[in-house]
Amino acid sequence: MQQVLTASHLISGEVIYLSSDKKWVDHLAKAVVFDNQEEAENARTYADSLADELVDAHLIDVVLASDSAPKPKSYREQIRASGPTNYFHGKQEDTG
Amino acid sequence: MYRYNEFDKNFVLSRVREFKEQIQRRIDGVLTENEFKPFRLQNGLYLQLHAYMLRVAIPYGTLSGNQMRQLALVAEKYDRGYGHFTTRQNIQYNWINLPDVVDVLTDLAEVEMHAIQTSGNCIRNITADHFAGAVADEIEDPRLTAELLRQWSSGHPEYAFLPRKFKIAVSGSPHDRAVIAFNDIGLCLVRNDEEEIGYKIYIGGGLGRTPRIGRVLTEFVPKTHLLGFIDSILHVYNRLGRRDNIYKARIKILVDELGLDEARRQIYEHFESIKDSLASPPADLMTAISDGFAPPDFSAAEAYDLESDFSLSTTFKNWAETNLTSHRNPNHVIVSVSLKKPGATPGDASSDQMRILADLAEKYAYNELHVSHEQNIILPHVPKQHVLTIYNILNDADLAAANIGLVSDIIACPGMDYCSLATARSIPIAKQIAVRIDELKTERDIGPLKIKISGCINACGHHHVGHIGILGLDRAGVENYQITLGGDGTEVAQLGERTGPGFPADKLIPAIETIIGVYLTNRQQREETFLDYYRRAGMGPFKEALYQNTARAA
Repeated sequence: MQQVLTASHLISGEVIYLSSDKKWVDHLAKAVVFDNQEEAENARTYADSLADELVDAHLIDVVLASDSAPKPKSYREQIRASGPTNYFHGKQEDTG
Repeated sequence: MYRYNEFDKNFVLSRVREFKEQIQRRIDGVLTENEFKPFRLQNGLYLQLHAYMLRVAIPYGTLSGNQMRQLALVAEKYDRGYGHFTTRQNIQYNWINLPDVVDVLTDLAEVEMHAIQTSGNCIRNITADHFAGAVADEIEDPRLTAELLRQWSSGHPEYAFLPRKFKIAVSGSPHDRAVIAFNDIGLCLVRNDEEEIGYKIYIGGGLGRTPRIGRVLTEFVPKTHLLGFIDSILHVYNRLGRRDNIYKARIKILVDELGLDEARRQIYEHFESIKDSLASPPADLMTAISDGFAPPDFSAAEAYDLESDFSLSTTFKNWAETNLTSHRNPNHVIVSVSLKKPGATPGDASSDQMRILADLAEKYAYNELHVSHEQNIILPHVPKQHVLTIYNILNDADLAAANIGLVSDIIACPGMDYCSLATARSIPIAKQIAVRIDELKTERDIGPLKIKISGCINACGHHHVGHIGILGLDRAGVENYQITLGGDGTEVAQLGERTGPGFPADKLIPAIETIIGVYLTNRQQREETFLDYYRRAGMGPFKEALYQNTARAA
């Protein structure tokens, strides 16, 4: 199971992901993908120590596309990763 | 229009200062998220899928032009140039930053607005008939009651931490346009045999996970006993409401568990114990409220033959047929401005559109606007001579959809596109239905048909009371939509009945077309509405048409 750690930024409320150098990044494409449960849980514990910067840290299941970009399995996380589908707002504005 | 006084102003400003400190303590790490969350919710601030969402209260849905203009400014300054009007007559902003919230609230306070009690386990914004003050069948303007209850409930120390949220709605007329039977308390102004004005009180209505039609607590309570009764209902609920299980915490479950007779006995018992010590609201307060909602001087408007304008334009005539309602004064009409142009997001208005609505209210309609629970904007008092001018301005602003009460006038909650509670999207479904029906050009032939869509079981989109209700769920990782038929949010008050198994998104629009097709084929004459036909024919023909292929395949 491949997983990514995500949360909402406390100040902006924006969706953020943990990157390989333990920074919080705005786009899923830059997130670190955990291949095993232990690494994922360690990252989750790390996020708990940052409770004053972020809200609702949680692991999400992803699948890797052919270009090895992670894509969330759930449509909820797909919408979080790109933005609402009724307006071209949110993250899709940067990546589109 | 009703104006808030110095007390209200200071109260709002003190709440802004208090919340500013709470936000700072959260940013500084003094408060954890779990500690901060109840504070932010009490100030209308949610953390949604993409950002913070701020819900701003619009008491009983009434706005002045100036207030609407300020809502437009907030949308532009702190958000993305639009706002979303909700089924509780409020407005939501979807893209707010936490540090900006204090500035937003300060800007709102300039026009006597705020976000207090728009969330959390307290008495929420009290809603009222969106035609309040304008319709002929009104016994009394329901906003007098709603405003009294607003003052009584704002910051009420005993009811700040109820078992769950608490919603009150008021109708001033026997024809219920405020969905009162689906609120925790529904109030309907009535006259008794002595022609005295009082209230019929419903309790324990609600939608959501466990939909219930409000049960009649009493057919008549005199006006002087209103606060005593409301206090008694809340007292019993606050004491006995389930705090152990969030899904059983609403008053509707308490009424289920106690039984209506026992609930009524306890409420009356409490009422009897307090009634002698109840202080009536001061007479000068009641006069101030009553003066604040005094109707405008309608005498300046002259008689005008509005129908003579119909020959000028068919589109105007069509719009007038659906979007105008008779006013209690013969020289006026009520104009409903649809925020449901096919393809648009139901209930959304851009800052430019809000400003145009503010201008129209100020120039032509006594500076008054109402938000309807059906997510449209009402100009309640429009002299007939100005209607064509208003239509032309609305048309230029993309606000002239001629669909009030028709298929494309859909209620839809924000759904999975924004809401962290949602299980499926609502907005794209509403858009697709409206666009499809617009392509088919059948809407006017179909006639009155209310479609209501919720993106989760909490039912913000009122799907249980849609003539066609749609509930979006997550079925094994795929959006799936259950359909209900026959719901009715008026005084008839019916919960919709499920057709059967749900439909995936790509099969849903054809299913809705099938349902409408069954009605069109089988109605006895054009006058038989969808709801009339459903009540006559029942679920059978719909079920058969929807599932016949599935049954054969099985």
